[in-house]
Amino acid sequence: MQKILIVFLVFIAVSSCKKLDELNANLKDFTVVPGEAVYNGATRALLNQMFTFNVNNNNTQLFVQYFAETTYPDESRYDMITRPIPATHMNTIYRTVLMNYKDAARALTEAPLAGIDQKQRDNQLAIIEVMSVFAWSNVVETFGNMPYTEALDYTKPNPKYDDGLTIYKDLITRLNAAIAKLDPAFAGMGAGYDNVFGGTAAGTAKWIRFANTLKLRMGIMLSDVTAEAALAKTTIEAAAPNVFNVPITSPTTGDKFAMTYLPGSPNQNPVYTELVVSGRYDFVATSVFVDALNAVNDPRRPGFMWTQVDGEYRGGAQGMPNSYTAFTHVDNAQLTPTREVVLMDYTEAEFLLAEAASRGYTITGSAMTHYNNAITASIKYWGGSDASVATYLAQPAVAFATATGTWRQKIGTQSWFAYYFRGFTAWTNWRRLDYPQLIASPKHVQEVNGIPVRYTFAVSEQTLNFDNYTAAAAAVGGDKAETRLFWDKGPENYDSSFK
Amino acid sequence: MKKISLLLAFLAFIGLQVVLAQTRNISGTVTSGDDGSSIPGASVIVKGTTLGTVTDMDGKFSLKIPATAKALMVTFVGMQSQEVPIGNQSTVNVKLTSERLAVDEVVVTALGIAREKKSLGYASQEVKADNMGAVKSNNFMNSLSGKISGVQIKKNTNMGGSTNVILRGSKSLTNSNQVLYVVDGVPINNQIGSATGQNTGGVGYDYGNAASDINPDDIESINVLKGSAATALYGSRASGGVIMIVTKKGTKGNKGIGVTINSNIAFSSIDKSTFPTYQDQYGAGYGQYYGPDGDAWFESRNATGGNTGAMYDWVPMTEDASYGAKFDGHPVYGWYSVDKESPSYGQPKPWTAAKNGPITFFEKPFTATNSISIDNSTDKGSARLSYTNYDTKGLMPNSSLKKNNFLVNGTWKVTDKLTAAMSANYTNQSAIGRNSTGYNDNIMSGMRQWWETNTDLMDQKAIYDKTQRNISWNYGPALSGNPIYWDNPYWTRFQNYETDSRNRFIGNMSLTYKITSWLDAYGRVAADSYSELQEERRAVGSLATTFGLNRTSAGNAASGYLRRDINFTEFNYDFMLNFNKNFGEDFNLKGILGATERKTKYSTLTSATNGGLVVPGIYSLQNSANALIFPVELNSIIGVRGLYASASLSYKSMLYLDATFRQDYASSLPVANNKYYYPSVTGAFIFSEMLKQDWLSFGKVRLNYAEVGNLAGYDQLLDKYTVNTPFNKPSYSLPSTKNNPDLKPESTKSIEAGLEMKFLKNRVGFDLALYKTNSKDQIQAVTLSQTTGYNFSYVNSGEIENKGIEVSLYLVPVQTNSFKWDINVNFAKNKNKVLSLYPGVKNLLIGTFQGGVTLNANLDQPNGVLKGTDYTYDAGGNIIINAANGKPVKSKTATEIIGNVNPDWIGGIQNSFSYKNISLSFLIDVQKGGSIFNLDMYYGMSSGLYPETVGNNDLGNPVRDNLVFNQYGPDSKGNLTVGIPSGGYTAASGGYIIEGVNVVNGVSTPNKTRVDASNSDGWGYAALPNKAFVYDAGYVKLREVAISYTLPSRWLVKTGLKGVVLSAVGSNLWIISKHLPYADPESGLAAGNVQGYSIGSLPSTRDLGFNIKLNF
Repeated sequence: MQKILIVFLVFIAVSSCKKLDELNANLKDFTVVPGEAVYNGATRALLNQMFTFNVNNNNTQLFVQYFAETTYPDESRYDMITRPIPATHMNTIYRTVLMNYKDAARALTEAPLAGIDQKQRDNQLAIIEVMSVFAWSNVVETFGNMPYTEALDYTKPNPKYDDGLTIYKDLITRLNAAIAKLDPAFAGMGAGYDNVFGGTAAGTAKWIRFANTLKLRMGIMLSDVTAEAALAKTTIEAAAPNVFNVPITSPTTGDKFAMTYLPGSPNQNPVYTELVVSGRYDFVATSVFVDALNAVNDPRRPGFMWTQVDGEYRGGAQGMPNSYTAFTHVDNAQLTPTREVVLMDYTEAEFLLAEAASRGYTITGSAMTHYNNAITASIKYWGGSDASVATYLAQPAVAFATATGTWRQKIGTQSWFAYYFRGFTAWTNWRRLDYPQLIASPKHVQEVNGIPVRYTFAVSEQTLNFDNYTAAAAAVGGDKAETRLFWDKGPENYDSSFK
Repeated sequence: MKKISLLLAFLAFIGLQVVLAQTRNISGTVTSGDDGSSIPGASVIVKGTTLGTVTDMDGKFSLKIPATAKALMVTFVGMQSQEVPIGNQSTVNVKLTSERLAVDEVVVTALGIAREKKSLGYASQEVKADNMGAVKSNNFMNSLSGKISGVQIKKNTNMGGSTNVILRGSKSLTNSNQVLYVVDGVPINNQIGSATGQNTGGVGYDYGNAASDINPDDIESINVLKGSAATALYGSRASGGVIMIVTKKGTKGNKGIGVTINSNIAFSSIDKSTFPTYQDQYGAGYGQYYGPDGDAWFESRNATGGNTGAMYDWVPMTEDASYGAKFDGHPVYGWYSVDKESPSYGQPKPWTAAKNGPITFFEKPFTATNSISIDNSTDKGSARLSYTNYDTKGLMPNSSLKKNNFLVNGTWKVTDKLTAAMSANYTNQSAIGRNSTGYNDNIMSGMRQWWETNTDLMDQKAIYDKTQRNISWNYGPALSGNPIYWDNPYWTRFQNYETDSRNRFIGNMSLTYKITSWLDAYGRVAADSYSELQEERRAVGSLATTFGLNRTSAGNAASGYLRRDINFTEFNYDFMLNFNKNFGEDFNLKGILGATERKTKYSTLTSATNGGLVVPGIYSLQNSANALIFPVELNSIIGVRGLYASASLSYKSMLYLDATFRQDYASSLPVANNKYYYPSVTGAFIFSEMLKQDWLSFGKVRLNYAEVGNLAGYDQLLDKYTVNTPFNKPSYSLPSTKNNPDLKPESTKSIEAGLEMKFLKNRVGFDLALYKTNSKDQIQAVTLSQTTGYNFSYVNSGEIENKGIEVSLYLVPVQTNSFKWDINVNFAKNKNKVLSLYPGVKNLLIGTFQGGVTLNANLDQPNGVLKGTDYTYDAGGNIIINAANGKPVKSKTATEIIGNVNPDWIGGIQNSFSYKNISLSFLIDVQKGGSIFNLDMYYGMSSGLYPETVGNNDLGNPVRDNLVFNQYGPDSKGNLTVGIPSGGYTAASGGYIIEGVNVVNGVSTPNKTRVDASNSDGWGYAALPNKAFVYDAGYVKLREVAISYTLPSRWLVKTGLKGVVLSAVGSNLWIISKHLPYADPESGLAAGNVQGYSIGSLPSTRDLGFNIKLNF
């Protein structure tokens, strides 16, 4: 019987004598992946965040009063705490976008050239840099001061906040360097990874145009900052000749940074996901926006995919609950999963040029020409005809010479119309130009005393990075949604107080 | 324990049956003085000799005794020993009375080693099978509530749901704090089967915990090892404490095979205090803003829902709130008017509260448990076979859970020196229609938060039964297509149900070889393996919700199918040398040298359709509308090898000293740090042996110190990319958690002191334990500022301290031959505190709940504080109210501490009475304190569901009436329409006043501004900070009442039956006191570290069970 015991013991001994160390190896996941594929994921994440309608992610379309909500108007009342909007945005931009851009650049730098030219690799790195600058500019325009020099480094768990203007100036420097590095004779990321300009040499030329349009915008953003007048001028005037310049003459033509989505989840257009796939009926157009468009008989209204109520466009009350059927809303049937999103385009370039001219910078073309070009492109993009453009521009309320108010009001109003569906662009533009005059929701939440003009810092920073948070809050002039940022120096022309 | 003792006694006395020159025979029966039942296995020894025997299955004995014999000593574990004078009698019948916490009680300790309880230097507490309640719960742990001090058991109300079991407070920030379950010496898996997110309040199902596969009918006893010293030999995985389970074994019967049949039925009904009461005065809507002009209570449509011709009032069906028009009986069109198959198509109904409210949705749960077991024991060994069938129907329509459990165990004396033992347990469980939990797609969230009080459930049932279509009370604006927020609940239950099944084998084989009289060698191989399939369905025609692989909004789908295949295997190999030697008369040394290895493999494969189903009704991955997204694969393997030694030295059954030492070698730690060591030392001194006082039956002090290490989880060392669904080309992202290649093991140091005393011949006694546990170097995914590019990073940092006191008291106030009254009291208070986290980190986020509330480990606070928005207060502590709208001014940030989920103390009192063959017991279970955030009230008050939102205000007007001011000011157009609160209100005003102060320039004046309650902004989340919805989670519950009757054996003489016990047990009969409105404070999330959140839970049930047990 001892044999049994011996066999048993030997069995135990044999079964347990393998090395344990190898067991921890993860055989299912990747430690090394192509940099282009990391770039691909980050870019899609950035565009989703910029264009989503999800009330957990982005409520800028509510701030600029394109949309009101139906049953649950909390976000239209500027509640940014219940659904931690600033934290979500910060998380997306820093972690999902910028950190991955950083890693994509690292991976590409370390990867062997494997048959491609160093020039193409440089283009790839420059494209990542341009996109990083775009994302960073959004961070500064949204929050003001934020971690920059110590950011994106897990060994610094409590990064300090840098001054917004200082970051912004550094971003312009980086953007200039990236533009200089882009060589239109060579391809970029490669088709499928670059889902905007296609990754060819022709695409690289468009990247240069896009980077310059961004540069123009960044220069314009500084144009109300007295101390940076010289930098604004050189930036704007250097960028102006190189911005998007192919006019949009139809929904599918012209210069634009546009990305087309795919038919299947999870790569569908975020607007389609939120409005159609969700099966919800959360948004109607506001009377503020609809009435303004009705007043000038705007030809873009059908193009905005709007339904009519009793034969007319009728908006709901912003900041209040609204009946979905009683008011104009996006006709879901017109949305498609593959619909493109437009981050920047010829229309925006022309509005920026109109503004540059109005501000007296030395650029080609008059303010009126650029204003008309912008409006024309926008109407064409939303499906309007040449005739409708002509009729529209002929209206005294539209024509640059006769429209009400200063250039700020004229450009502010028309670009507000044109940036429909581009929440962040519209919100930033409205904050800089201070037009159109928007009245804050009278049912605002207690914490926010006006239409937000910045995101408050993420609540999580108060617990995770308290000292730096506190310093930053003091530096920007108080961590409030009503605190105007360093670039937001125009005349305060909107109602930010409540009765 | 009785049967184990029997076995031990049997083995002990086998050697004593020496044939002597007898002079006479003596025989008799040993019975229990408590219930008259016979006691098998009692030892009967002739006083002053080693002659003796043990009683058989009927408690009978027969013994040949020398003429000189004067008395018999009759002993049995758990009973008071008795000396019986013999005189001239040839028959001696002995009645033993039970001895509470008997001095010589044998308990099973770590590694399955049986030890005399008195020799232990640490706290352990036992519950026997017959005190585990006859109401068959899916999870045996639920029947331990209140019976053991220091164990916090939180049973939730989900069908087959998981039970959270924490011993002596949570010690780890992020690792599981659940206890380790050990069955007959072998650890078994207790995976909590809910998908990520479910147990933090996200959508999903609670798949229960795997330890619930243990069949309660096979459990002989449960012993809880509370402190680290008790569990040190189990190494890392026992850091949360151990629940040792001993299963029933074969016992010897002189008539051969023993057969037990147990049959149990249980009926349940809703405890109405755990379900909402609805207001019945106002119906659907959010306020007066419907109709073409946006100023009506109702939508306006024609009789068929169109926009032409004569227009009528329509229920605002797109809403899911009851802040609408007052019920007045006038005809109103609604969902019942829309569909052509509806009996009231095109017809209105009177505007009234529903006759059949949500509570009519529930069914009456019924559970049947039947088991049969056969056992036997001979000189050559013993065996027991049992089969149990468990079948329950849940509270929700179309929900059921079935289990089949087979267990075979046995021992075989191969030779005199070699004994083999084996155990094989197969369980098959299948469930249909577990209830969905969380916020979205949970019928209960609908009923508790978002509901229209005019909705009649029986009408919803009738239309579903008739059409088998999803005709919901919650039509979208187009009055066609999918509902807007909520499906017809019957559609959900009968079409969108989940199913799951698990097949599990737990088994082991062992050999013990007796090398010499004082040295044994022992080897064992144990396997625990299961495969599980979980399938989730969403029928074509449902509303879109987060479903499928990534439950994000991008994962919204109106239909779909998901399957999750889970495979688990764990092998444990053990080898031990046991020695046990006396040195002289006074010293004994027991020792163990052991080696152990476990290898745990857990793999899951989850796949789901993408973009909906093509063909309705076919739940298959092939039926996916779009190409499948990559399935999610997990393949985690952990290996741990341990070497250990223990020595126990005793002196004169008075002083005991134990020491253990263990080294672990874990695969999940970096090679440089993967070996770690920890010791324990325990001591016990039985001072009653020294004092020898009559009044003191027993007295012991104990003291121990232990260290335990804990390993890292699988794959926390190296970074891996997240694989996204390709976007034209492959797409990857960095993970949100930064791994750490330099992790080292966690360590827990604990000291414990105890005092155990018994008085008055064991009729009064207590057991007191004091402990302090410090858990350091916690392996935690510390939350980083998101600006670092990561959300979390694995670090070794932080320290949590748990300090506590545990008391068990017992008392036998009355004891006569036929009547006995026992009282057992358990009390435990644990205080925990986060002493450090990570340099620069003051707070660790453990969970995030809807409503902006978080669960945190905050420095210098208990582990588990709730944070959110608070009221603001003036210097006098009064709530500051905004004078403009009458609502409290909320704190600026959501980082105020608004609650602590840890209870102040927990306890239970059990009273048992026995009179002849009848016994009655009841148990009251108490939790004092602890906080719970209730999302149901947060939203439901605002939705106007609850009675608190209706009725008259202090002015005698309906609170929902408009505010009527004395004074008005001009609006932007110059019209006098803006009410001025400071001017006061007329006697006709609605609204209500929140007590507090208005503060102007630092001066507080009592608030007189009324809150406008004419629409949903007046209550709930729209009006109050999070703090208003944090409730005291304490309760007092009548947990269990049991009556049992043992048929007198004389009635059974001719039946062939050896024993019949009839019993009735009620459990959770009465929540005597609680503070959480409309819900059970125990209900809530699945087991895990995230607690303190009540959202859309099922109501609790009162369960009444009837049991009959037959012994042949």
